[in-house]
Amino acid sequence: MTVTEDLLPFRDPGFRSDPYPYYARLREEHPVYKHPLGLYVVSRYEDVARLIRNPTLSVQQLDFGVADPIHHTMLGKDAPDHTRLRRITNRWFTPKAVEEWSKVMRASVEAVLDEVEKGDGTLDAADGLALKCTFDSICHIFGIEPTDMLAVQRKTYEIGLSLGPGGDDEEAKGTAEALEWFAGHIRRLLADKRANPGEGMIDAFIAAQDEGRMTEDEVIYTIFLFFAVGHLDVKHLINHGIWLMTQRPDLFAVYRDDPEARPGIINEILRIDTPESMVVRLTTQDTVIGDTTVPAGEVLALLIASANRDPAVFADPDTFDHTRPVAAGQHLAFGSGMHGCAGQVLARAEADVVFTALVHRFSGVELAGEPAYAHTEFLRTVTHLPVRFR
Amino acid sequence: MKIEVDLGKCQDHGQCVYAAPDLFALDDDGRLTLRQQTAGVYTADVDDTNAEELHEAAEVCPLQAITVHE
Repeated sequence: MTVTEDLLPFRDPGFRSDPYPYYARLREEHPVYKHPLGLYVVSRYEDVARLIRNPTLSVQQLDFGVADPIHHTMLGKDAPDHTRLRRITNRWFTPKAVEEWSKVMRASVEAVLDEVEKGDGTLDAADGLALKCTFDSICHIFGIEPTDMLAVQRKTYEIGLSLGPGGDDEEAKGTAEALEWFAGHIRRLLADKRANPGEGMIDAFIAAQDEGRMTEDEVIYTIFLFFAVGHLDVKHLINHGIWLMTQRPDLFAVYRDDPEARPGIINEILRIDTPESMVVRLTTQDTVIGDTTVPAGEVLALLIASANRDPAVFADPDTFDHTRPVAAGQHLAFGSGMHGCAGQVLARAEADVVFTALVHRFSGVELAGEPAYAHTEFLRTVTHLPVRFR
Repeated sequence: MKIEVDLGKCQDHGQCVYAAPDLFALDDDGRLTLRQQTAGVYTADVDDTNAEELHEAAEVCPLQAITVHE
């Protein structure tokens, strides 16, 4: 079948602000859609869930363009290098470790809310709470002072801009410059760490490098990766949760009064507005997806945000319902399989720390202005979320 | 010692396979091979010689689906 119309206009502002109707049409009419840019787009839950675990699909052989240094991280490596890097980093994100990091997060959140209470109750929750507190936490895990927060956020965003399909030359230049900025920033941090050793994750990476378990580039870009994911997606989870509470006062009350409902609420926030909407893989052999056989060497875009709204798995998928049965299907916001999110325990804990602190301290939250967004083709981004707590 | 693997919680991240390759494996679809035996909670007696690996697997499981009983 030939489709000339672009059913997934990645660069269209309308698509970026509300991609869900586009996803719905793909799921119904073209579940394996050959995009004009050449990649195969997969949108149904069943296909995405199966492919995301498929061990024959490669990330190592993908062409990241100017973002090639990401191949020095676990995001861009297949086994066995992927396994080696995951084993070095996993121990920093176990539930036991996360209990410690949650204390840091809680202290950061309470300090922000103390100031809000002293003031007029208003706050831009995007930078002032979601970014600040997740950034404080990841810097604590690293074992460094939380400096250069806004630069880290801006440079991460610039790298993300050209990672999606169909970026232009100017965005590619921005990505290259931002990666260079990170490499310089991280080299300075590493030099400082070598002079003043501590017990953070960066110290562990330095030890791994000295023992020959990580290369210098792997150390540098793995630190970049955790700077990025330490705030990027989890910030959206927190922002979206707070926004939902401004729209649904009942949710604020449920979160406060029913601790058992909290994990379900966090899962539903992740499902209904999945922060990272797709992952990309390369086929290494003929890969059968429904009626389509994709040959080796093709790029697959797995639309996890579409899978999470698939009515075949989630009844009434566009409606927020934190009481939906888990047995029907688990959302794929954290991916699944060997590249599944290493920090998902931390992300859930950080969101819970924020929401719990809010509902215990205040009686409600409302918008104090219009939220602003900078969605990219694969990342949901709230840039401003002015709110007032009562 | 005894292990329990809650396959309802498990999302096949495979981190247990890296930690304890003698005890866990993924099939060609990338799913935990234990799923071929049960869909609920898998339980088994495990030799104490695997204790260290098993504890690492339980610790790193992102879904905390593995429980070890001494």
